[in-house]
Amino acid sequence: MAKAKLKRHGFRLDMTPMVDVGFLLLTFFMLTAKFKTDNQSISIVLPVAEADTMKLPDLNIAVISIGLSTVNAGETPDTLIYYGIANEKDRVPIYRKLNRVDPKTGQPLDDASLVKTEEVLLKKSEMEEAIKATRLQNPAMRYAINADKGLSYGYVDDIMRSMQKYGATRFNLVTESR
Amino acid sequence: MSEVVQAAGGGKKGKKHAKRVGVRMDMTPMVDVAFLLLTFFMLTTTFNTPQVMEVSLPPDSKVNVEVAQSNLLTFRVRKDDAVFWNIGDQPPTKITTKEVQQILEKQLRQNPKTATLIKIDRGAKYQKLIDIIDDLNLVQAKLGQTEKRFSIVTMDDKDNQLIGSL
Repeated sequence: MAKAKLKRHGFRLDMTPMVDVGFLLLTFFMLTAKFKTDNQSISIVLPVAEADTMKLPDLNIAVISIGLSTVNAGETPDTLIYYGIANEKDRVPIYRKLNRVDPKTGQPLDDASLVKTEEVLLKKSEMEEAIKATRLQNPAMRYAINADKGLSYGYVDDIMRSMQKYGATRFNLVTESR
Repeated sequence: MSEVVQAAGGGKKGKKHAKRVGVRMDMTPMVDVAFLLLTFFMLTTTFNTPQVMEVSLPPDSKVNVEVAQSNLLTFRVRKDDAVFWNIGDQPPTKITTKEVQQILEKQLRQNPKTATLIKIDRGAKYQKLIDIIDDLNLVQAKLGQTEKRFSIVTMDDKDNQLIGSL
């Protein structure tokens, strides 16, 4: 009988569809991955918090980063403030108010490069100007303070008071979950 | 890696006429690497967003919100990061960072109307502020209270005199 003679062949599964899907997902994640575009010129060690909090939104958020300069890290490093707007359309009018110039030519930066600028270095005296410009440009903008945990509270306080002055009374403190 | 499948019956003669049947490549390593990358990207994309803690301040610092003394829980953080607490106008007591949560829990359980005031010196570490707000958030979540009743102010000379010698 033919049935009895049947040889058992090695089991072979066609993995092509699985590999196809795998590559599709890989491409998807690679393209959507948002790498932490870390500001290389300052180092920020986020404070840790345990309570359940929300995630940092992607849009309508202005992030004020305060950290230690990495340039002269050996000595006492300077504390630098960076101001970043998430919405590309709001970047030009706000950064324009702060009169940023190209460090090479000394000319004001053009719109194309301002749109791509994620963060601008801010002097302490420009803080209020920046928040005022942001409030006028986009009242729905929310604010987040992204400060190093080892800093004196004074730096954060200055920012909170400037925000309070221009009516930005709800803001977020960026933390890292434990 | 790759193997050429040849027709059977090679030999010296067969070399000339060797038929190329097909190249078979072992794709296992490539697929392994692809899945490794896939896992990497999947894990990094989801867990990278930082957390935020919401804080609201009164719109104008000149406007005073009246709170009964007995409902006011004050934490003071001195320049050297030492923490003190008191209720109303009781004298402040020095505590460790770990005790903050216990005190908050006790007070908020006893009196849900408690308003917390964090008085922090400009020279104190920023992490201290986060710690206290975090403890408050934890305790409120535990007790099921949603209303955030806390404020942050800087310490003035009066506060420094009060706790300076402790």
